[in-house]
Amino acid sequence: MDPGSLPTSSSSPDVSTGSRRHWVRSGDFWAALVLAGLSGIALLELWRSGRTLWSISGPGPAFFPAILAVILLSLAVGLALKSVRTDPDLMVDEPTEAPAPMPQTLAFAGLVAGMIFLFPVVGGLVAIGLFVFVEAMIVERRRVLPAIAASIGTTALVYVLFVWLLGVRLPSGILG
Amino acid sequence: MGIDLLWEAFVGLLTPGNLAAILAGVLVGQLVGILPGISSPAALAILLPTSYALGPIAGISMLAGIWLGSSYSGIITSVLLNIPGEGDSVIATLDGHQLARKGRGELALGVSAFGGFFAATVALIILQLLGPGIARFALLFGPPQIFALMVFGLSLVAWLAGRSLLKGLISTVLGLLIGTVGSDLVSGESRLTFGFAEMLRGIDFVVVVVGLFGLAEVLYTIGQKLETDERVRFAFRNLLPRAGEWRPSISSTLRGTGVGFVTGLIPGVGPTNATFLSYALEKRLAKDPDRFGKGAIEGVAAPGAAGHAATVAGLIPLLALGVPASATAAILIGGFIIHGLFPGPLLYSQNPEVVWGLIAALYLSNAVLVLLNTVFIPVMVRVVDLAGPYLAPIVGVLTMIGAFTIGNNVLDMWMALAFGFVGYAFRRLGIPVAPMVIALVLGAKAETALRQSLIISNSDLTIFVGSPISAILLIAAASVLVGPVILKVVGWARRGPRRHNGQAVGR
Repeated sequence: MDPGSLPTSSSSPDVSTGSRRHWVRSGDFWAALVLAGLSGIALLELWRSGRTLWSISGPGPAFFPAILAVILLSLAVGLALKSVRTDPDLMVDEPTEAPAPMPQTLAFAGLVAGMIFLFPVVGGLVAIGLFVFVEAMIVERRRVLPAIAASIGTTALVYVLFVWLLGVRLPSGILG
Repeated sequence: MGIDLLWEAFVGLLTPGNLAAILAGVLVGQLVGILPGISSPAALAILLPTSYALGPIAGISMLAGIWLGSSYSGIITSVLLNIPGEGDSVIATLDGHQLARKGRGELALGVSAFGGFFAATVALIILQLLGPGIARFALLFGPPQIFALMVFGLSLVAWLAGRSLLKGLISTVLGLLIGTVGSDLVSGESRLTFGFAEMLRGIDFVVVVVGLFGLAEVLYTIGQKLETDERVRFAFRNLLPRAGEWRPSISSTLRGTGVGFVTGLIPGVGPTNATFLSYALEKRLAKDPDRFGKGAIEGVAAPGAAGHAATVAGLIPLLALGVPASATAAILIGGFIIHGLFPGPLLYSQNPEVVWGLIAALYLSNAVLVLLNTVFIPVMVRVVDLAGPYLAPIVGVLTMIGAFTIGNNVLDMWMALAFGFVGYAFRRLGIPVAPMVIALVLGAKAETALRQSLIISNSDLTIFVGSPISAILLIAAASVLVGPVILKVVGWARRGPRRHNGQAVGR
């Protein structure tokens, strides 16, 4: 099947296909380094923990992960070579959909991290309410009243669905 | 044929709890399908923990309802607003939206809904007929054959799920490696835990999928606005074709059903590719291909049927062999696992009530969905307006709560966030996520089969080519992995290296 001959989802015009390809090319190289590092760490941990690779009765617990780590290392080398050798204009594996602007992505991720941090401290429901309110104000740039409504609505949804119907015990935090 | 078992399953489903779970599943699926910011694997991943509280039949039926529901409703926004809600409804923006602009959007939605109902029903009947036979055949499989089947399935997924075999393989191997973290299933010894006691139980499947799908999707699409200025008016009276349109609609639906069913069986292809393939086939067969893209009814009927047929067909390898054909199917396996069940040949003999309960629930869901996708379309479009702007924080919250409920601990939330970043990076780099999730599900089974085979054979590797089934499967897997490379080398040798800007190009 040749995906190029088939229609794909539309892309946003603000980020060009060319720049995404260059991003993928350099991203591939760094991804290859990370993957090589991960496989190296896995091999080191298997060696450090002294798990058996092979015994008289057959393969030990380290056998399968060790093989996988070696294969991953080889694939990482392949990816690194590909990223260096391939002309970005001939790449076929760039995403067809433009990503959101990086500041918004990072802001959202930061707020999620903040919610997780506050979850056991101020309590699950309070952390959720705060997260939705701040996210609506900062990331989505909504006005105060809609942000408060979204915060209360989402917190109520979580309470009804998870706490009331499914009996999930969320941490109550310092507010009891 | 299992008619008796299916009848018993229908009777068993008629409890308020089961019916409520099925209805909840199709409604959630319906919403997921029309909301562009959230995909069906993401919704399944987020709601997987909620099925803990339900029984196995109700829980799994709810998840299957989400899957089928999202397959139905994605077309609504594709046709009326030119915004595809799901991957398998992207193709409907071409001719479906053109029909809507000509004032015939109802026809596109009607043909798609009724054709989809037909395709899903046919696929369910075939599942009902073939599933038990395939499962009985698969019971003949010993560890070497099971290992070979897993290798074949994973190879196909790595090859077909993305546009680069190398990246598909990376995703697959990474998923397998993550699956080895925790206690070894055979010896009970810890592996790759780095001394942390919390890691002994391994990295939970739900934590991985809520991060990879739910959170990653929000991180990738945050802030994208729905453009609803191309709203088209809707009238029920025009849902059915006019006099000369019945024949092309029916023949395209039949072809789409066939294409979708066959492609849905193949791991890695999935409903989205099935819709593209059937569209390409219709265009190829058309006497006047120039009509396509301008409102050809065949361009809506065939992909609509193909998507539904492929969705249901994916249940055949899932239920009979335990091999998920797509990421969504892999997440559905998670729904089985949390109830202590594992899809595969033994499920038909040990838990027939679950298999037939699921099939019966899908028949019911299919009937409810055709109603929802014809009568309630205006309501669904209104939901897009209301819920769309607040989708990102809601999904963010639900993914985190979903991760927390696994073990009531905050560490799982941090891990889900980490996998959210992994999913985001994968998407930006064009690395497919589906192979990783499928490998995570199949990894333990593949490793156990590999080690059992080597123990049985006293470490003699020829056990894997000792039986025709495993030999054929392994040769097929090798062809999938090595074939494209050989073809490329042969092509290169014939044409010589392609040149671009005066320089030789490698890949």
